[in-house]
Amino acid sequence: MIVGIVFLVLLLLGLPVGIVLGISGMVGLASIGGMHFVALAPSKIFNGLNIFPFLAMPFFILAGEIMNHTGITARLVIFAQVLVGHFRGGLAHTNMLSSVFFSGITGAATADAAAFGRTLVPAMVKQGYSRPFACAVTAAGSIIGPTIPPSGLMVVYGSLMGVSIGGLFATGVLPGLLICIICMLIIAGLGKRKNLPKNADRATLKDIFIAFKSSILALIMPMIILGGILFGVVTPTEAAAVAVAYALFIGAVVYRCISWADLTRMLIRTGRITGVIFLIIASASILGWWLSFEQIPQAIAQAMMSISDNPQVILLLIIALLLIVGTLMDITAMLIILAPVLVPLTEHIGMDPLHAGIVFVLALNLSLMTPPVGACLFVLSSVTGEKIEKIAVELWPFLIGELAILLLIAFMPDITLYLPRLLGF
Amino acid sequence: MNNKNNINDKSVLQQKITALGAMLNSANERVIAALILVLVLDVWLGILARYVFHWQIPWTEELARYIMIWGILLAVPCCCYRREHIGLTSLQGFIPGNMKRYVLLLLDLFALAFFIMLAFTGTAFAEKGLSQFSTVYSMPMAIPYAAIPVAFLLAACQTGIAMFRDFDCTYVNEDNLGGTDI
Repeated sequence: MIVGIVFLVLLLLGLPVGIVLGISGMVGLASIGGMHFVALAPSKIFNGLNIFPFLAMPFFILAGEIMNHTGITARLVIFAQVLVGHFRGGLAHTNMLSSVFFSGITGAATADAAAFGRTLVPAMVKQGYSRPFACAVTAAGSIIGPTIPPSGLMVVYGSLMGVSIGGLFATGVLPGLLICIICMLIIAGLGKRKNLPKNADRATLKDIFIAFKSSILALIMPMIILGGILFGVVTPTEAAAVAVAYALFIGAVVYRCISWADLTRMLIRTGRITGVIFLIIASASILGWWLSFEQIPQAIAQAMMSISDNPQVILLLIIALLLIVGTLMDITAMLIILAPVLVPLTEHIGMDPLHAGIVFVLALNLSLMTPPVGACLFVLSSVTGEKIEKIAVELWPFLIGELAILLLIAFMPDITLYLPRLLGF
Repeated sequence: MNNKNNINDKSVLQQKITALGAMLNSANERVIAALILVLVLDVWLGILARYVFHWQIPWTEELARYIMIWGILLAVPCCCYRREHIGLTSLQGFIPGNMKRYVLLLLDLFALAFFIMLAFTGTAFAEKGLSQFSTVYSMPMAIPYAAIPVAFLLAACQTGIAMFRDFDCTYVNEDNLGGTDI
């Protein structure tokens, strides 16, 4: 009881989540056995972090930072544009398809939102799109990044819950593509009603080939990462390290645009981004130990099962909980806090661990663009100067479409499990 | 709140503390960059050894885990200095201005107490590691364990510094991460 009160009060006051979890965990340990148990906190932290697959996280972040620095994003956008730019709402379609290409480079939705918020949103506004709509399209597309591998969220989920990261990566491919397709259908549907611009002529095969050649170095990267992992040649950590080598080769040798100072800055930023996540994981290890000791996950599972014993109702409750909490909380923090509590429940209702993983990741990704605390909305608002509430109004059709994909994936597991099963996960 | 952004608007004590924090953070960030670089090189060596040269180098994985723990935990104080640790801050907007500065001060004190506690208990934990040895190359576990007291002591220092620096002031992080989703 006291742990719950401490957790909620400190969280609502705005203390960083990592510290809230740590203090709540220490209060929990003290309630079991006083200072003698509080002294166990460092060992819980060390064991919680001493996990080899976690290494993939800083490496994927570093590879994404380097690739962003090379300016390869612009080449990917041009390639997407020659493919779909001739449709009504061509730049909106381009934005969406670029997110698919970009997703193979970085798993961070905010990186996607920042990159396209700076480049494609002004281009769309110049062509006659309203700024809130351009931002909404960018936000809707940005969540393709952490759905299609590589995805840092999947690395954390797999490492914490003991689920195959390669399997999760394979599971994410189809939902990511489905999100792209549904959003492009929505853009096509809105095209006439919103009178979206139709400017570009259909690109010739020669144009497509030139754009493909120019962006091939970026398009190869996900193949290196995924090919290696999915066919079991390398581990996710090794694939991430190879991705860093490849990105460095492109940046330093091919484009010659990375200095030592740039590299140092990128290494530091990688450390800081991972540092924020690691504090949460470290502190969650303390609270997690107390939760297991007090058998709280089992109690929550029983409480939810008492509402209904129908697996589909339970799954719906889990999704609703994730989406509701996701409107208020950072998704990585949510994953670290809620996965150990809710995943046993998914096991209880007989869900495949990979299926449970993708439902979790997809629900969390949707939270990236739900107000008031949608990270992608914040990033887009800050880089474009557009108000969050105006973006949110234009975002609804896309949110509903993506929610439909989440429910489809949740209740028809065979769709998303087809690829991992084919690859033997 | 006065929202003093410029260092010249701050008191002499605040200016000195701000400079000390910046110096400490700069040194800390360089160490992080060096450790992550070594980490990358270590994993590359492991890959080359395994797939290209077919050498048996058993220590690369163990070393990578310990460098990761040191490197990333040392980033925690940098994020304290830059106020990058994520929290649910949207409700803070409802706290009246004058009261808000004391609430923020109270939250910093909670954070400070947490980090001091971890530095204190972490020291005892690291001492225990003197008599334990790693599985592959028998290194005293005190070396990796020491990351906890060192990182959290530094985090306590940077939290204390940020608390003085930002009291009655608004801190502007010039190198914003732009999001910590991964």
